[in-house]
Amino acid sequence: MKFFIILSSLLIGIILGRYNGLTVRKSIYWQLFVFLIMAVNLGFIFIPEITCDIAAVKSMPQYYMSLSDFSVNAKMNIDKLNVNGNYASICLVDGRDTLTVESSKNNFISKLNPDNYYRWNLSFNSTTKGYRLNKKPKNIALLSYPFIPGLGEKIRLISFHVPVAWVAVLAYLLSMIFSVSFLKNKNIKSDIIASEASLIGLVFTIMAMITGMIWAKYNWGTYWNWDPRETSILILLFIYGAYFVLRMSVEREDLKYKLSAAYSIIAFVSVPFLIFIMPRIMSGLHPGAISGANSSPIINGSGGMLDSSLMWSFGVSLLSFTLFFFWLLNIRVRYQLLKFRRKL
Amino acid sequence: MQFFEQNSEYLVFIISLVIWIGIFMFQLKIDRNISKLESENTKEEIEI
Repeated sequence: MKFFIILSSLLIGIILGRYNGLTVRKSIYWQLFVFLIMAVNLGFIFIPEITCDIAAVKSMPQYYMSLSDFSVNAKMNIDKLNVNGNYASICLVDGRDTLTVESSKNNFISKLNPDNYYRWNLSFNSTTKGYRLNKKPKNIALLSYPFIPGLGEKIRLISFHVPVAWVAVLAYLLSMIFSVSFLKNKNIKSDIIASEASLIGLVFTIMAMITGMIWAKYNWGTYWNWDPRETSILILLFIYGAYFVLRMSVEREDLKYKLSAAYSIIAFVSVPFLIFIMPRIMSGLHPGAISGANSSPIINGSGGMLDSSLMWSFGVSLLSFTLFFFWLLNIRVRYQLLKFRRKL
Repeated sequence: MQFFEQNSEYLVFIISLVIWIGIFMFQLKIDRNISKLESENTKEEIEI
């Protein structure tokens, strides 16, 4: 299911993005669709709460619990309720597991139905070793993200960081395809599409790198760790940076187009190795590295973080960023074509 | 305001939505300008 959603969102993105061609203006309905899908994506990223069950709370190390707030889906055991003035000690029940929570306010208790499940936003107090209720309990959300120890709210970054990196790979692939097309047909449109796809791919790679650095700062301690994944993406940036240096340094137009097309094809050979292979054959901190609990193959059929509501968010995000990439590409290609026609 | 104090995720969502609306409007404007230039260019080519 996970694989189907991710693959279909990427394919739908490519089909819709290429619809009407890359050099013709996209219709206003297409543009509005991109707007709406990105707005939905932002909603998917920010609105769902991080939720878990009581068993997950109890299995987590107290160190992780004290780092961030978390929500628990549970109902209240009215028989074990202890109210003393404003203070209340509430026993939460979830199947066979129970958890006692302290609350400094109790005016909401009478409004709760003891038969219903609610979302209880809690935090762990490392001094008293107890759980404290942060806000009034809310109804169970349609969509929520799993609480991953050590990640907490940072799990939301997955729906931005990973699709952006994937779209960068898509951009480099497109650049390679159109470079081959240019060498075959000598059509200037192909060269423009190839160079603009590389440029947008470079921007998306930088965005993936920046979001990865933010993640690294809060998860691994520093912005840059020389992890194999970080190093490989830096090498990729240098490779595609050199592509533009090459384009700018050759003055003869026909030679520039041919050389840059050949370079783009050779550069793409390194992309699968740097993105998919190198980080998986070396030990590192990034998920997918050969050592540690994060190791995983390229195509991972086993359960993981994405086997939850997060996979829907990831799918929508992949679709919206793919469409956004094609819109950017469309505008850049049309602009470069105009410039080329004016030069003639 | 009390709603946003209790549900800060909605505030973050609204801020990100405002930024996206800004990017979208900017893109739309550039798209229209290029479209105008394209039609001017086509007219010039026909005249020539």
